[in-house]
Amino acid sequence: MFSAAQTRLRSVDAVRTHQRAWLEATRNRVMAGDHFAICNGDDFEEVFTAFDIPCLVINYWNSIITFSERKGDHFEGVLADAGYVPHRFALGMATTLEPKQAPWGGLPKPTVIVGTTRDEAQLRVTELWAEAFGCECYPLDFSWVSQFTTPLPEDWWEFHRARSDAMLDPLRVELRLEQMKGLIAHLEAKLDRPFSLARFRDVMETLNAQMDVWEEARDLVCNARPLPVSLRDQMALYQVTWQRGERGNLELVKAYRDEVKRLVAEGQGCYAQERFRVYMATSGNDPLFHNYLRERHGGAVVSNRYSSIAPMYARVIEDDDPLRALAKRHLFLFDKEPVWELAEARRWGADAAIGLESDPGAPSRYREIFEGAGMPYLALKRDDDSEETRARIDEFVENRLGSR
Amino acid sequence: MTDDPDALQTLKLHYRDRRRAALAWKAQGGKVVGYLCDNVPDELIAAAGFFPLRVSGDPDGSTEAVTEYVDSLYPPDVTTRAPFVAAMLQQLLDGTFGLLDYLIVPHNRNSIQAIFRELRDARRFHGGLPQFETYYLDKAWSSSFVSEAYNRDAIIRLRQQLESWAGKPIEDATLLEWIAIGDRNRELLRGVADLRAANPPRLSGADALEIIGSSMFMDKREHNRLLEAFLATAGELPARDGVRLFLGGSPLDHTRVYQAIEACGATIVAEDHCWGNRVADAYGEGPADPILELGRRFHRKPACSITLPLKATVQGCARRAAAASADAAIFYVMEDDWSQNWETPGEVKALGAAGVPALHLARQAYDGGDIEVLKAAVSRFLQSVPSQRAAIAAREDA
Repeated sequence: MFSAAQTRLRSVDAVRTHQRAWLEATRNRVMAGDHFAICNGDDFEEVFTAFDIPCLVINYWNSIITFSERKGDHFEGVLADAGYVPHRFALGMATTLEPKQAPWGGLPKPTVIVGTTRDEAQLRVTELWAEAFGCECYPLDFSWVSQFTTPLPEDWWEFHRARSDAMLDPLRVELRLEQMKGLIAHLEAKLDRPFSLARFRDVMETLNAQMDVWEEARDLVCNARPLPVSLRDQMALYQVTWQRGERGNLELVKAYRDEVKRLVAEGQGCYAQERFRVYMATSGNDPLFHNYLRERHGGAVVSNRYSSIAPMYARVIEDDDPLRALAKRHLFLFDKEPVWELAEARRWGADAAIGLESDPGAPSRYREIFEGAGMPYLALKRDDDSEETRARIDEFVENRLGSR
Repeated sequence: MTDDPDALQTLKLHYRDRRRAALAWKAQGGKVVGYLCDNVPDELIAAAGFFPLRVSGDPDGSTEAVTEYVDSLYPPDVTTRAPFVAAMLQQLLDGTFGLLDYLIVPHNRNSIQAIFRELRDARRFHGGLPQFETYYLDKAWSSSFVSEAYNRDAIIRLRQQLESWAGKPIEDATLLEWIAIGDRNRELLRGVADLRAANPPRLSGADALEIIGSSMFMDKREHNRLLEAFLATAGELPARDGVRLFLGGSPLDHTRVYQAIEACGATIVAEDHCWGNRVADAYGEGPADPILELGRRFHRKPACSITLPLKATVQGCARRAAAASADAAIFYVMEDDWSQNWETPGEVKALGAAGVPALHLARQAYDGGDIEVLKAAVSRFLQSVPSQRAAIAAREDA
């Protein structure tokens, strides 16, 4: 048996504290008569920041309900009682349908919810949520799937900051830009305040600075042995990306970078041992079997795909047009595909990768790419801590990683 | 008008043997353009000299090719789709639609859009799959002028693509002719809808579904001729009794669910899905510039059931039920239909407010599942309808 202990960074705890304080302050601001907005993730936050309107991101709120507060089952029941087949994206709406059980005292009434046509569920949920609040819903056109009609370059993850045109449909960029301008003009009238291009440019530049610091810290973390920051802390840190471009959040990331530097210099690791390193090809939080993996096998999950996504938000501002830079960023952030994830697994020095698949026994492109590159790959149905999952992990470690 | 006593049987034949007319066209050297959903302007395809064939699924088919060639490529959360979409994708992969020369995939619900990428990736990573060229017909869903202009431009680009495939321009006069043929078809299909909505109804929902569906598997000119012949003698059809039922929920491209429901003593007098009466909806304002007209129609016609705001979708559904004087409604919503999931509760509520009781069947199978279980649920519901109607009447009297 090995130790399952893991450390916790002070700078990440500061992020956790900041998020709760931010929501409390937002609630107080709204009670005092100020505006508040809800929007889809990666969608319109920077514009609201430039308007000085606090904005809550839907998928962030959903993850608090699910992972931080463990109330997902309860609010799925609320959705079922309302006649809907439960869907994770709608959990936030469920906290408005039944606010008594809402985490952290619940959300104040927003002035507007900005939805997207990302998919039909997200569009309809934002509409229904606005109806439940009695506020406006303003949808923007951006479909999750249509972004992939433009074939991506093989090494697409290298293109974000300065070459994103190669990944985008130029007609969609123009449509997005037109619709963003329409929404900004609408908000100027609704909020009775002007939109400052200078302030917006500052937000976009601060965002780029924030991602630079994040990237610097990320490189320190993935190159260090032992790993100084647990996956749990990496995911908690991700919360700062939900208010990108705010000075306070830039400072939080700098504090994190500085703590990482110190930990690396001191050779401190977050886990008690790293007999082997695992990359999770998933979007979720720390997998529930991680304690077992550390305790039983001494293995450590060092990262998942979200460990490296944040820097992809950065965009060069061309032709003094930050709105166009943001429009381009809205239309493509990342793809879930194995060539990139293999590159990530290697960046993090992983010895093996674990992915979730609907039929773990069937051939898959993820398996083909990882195994073809010589990296053992385990497909699981769920990232739970069931006996079945433990048995699959035991078999995998013993047969594929035993000699490490 | 041509006298054709077998018109209804011929229409049904084409519904059941869906590639029959396209194969005959192909045998004479013609080319076939497949398309998904009901909002691709088939007038443009026909005007370019191609046979337009709407892609459908098969409730008796498997989805093995989808699992093998598509789902194996992506993490599971990327590939969620309702089973009726899986059934269509299966047939595009397994060679059933091997007769296609080209395919148009519109920007409708997520899983429909995804088919463009899924086919491209499946061909890239697996050999031996059908190689018809695939075109993505983009569409903005929101209702603004900016979106309307974008959608008009999408139709202009589609015209250019079809011209490129055909190797010749599409003449405006030809296009106007095909728009008129399509308008006549919709007009005749509304006549079919009237037969169902009549009191008493003269046509079953299952028969109507076959008549409507066949319009997307046949040459529209021939379909119009058959419809005219059928409608000329339709007044002689026997009256139907039983509960007048409205059907909402997921798209149904087969008659199995209709037949199960109507076997319980109801007549489906109208429905709200893209293989039924919605096909006959008119969105035009008249033939000015044909492309502007088609662009306007494309913009206004819902992408799947999606219109903005949601309220418009709910009200549209309630209007259809009211226009058909429905006594009751059933919403048959398939598993993973993430469009209908959020619309149906509001539609059930709206119908309830109008005195139309509704049964919401969620997480249903594409093929109707266990038909006896379905029939039992429908029968229980139908038995409750007269008493509920009586209660409403009593309340109104009071």
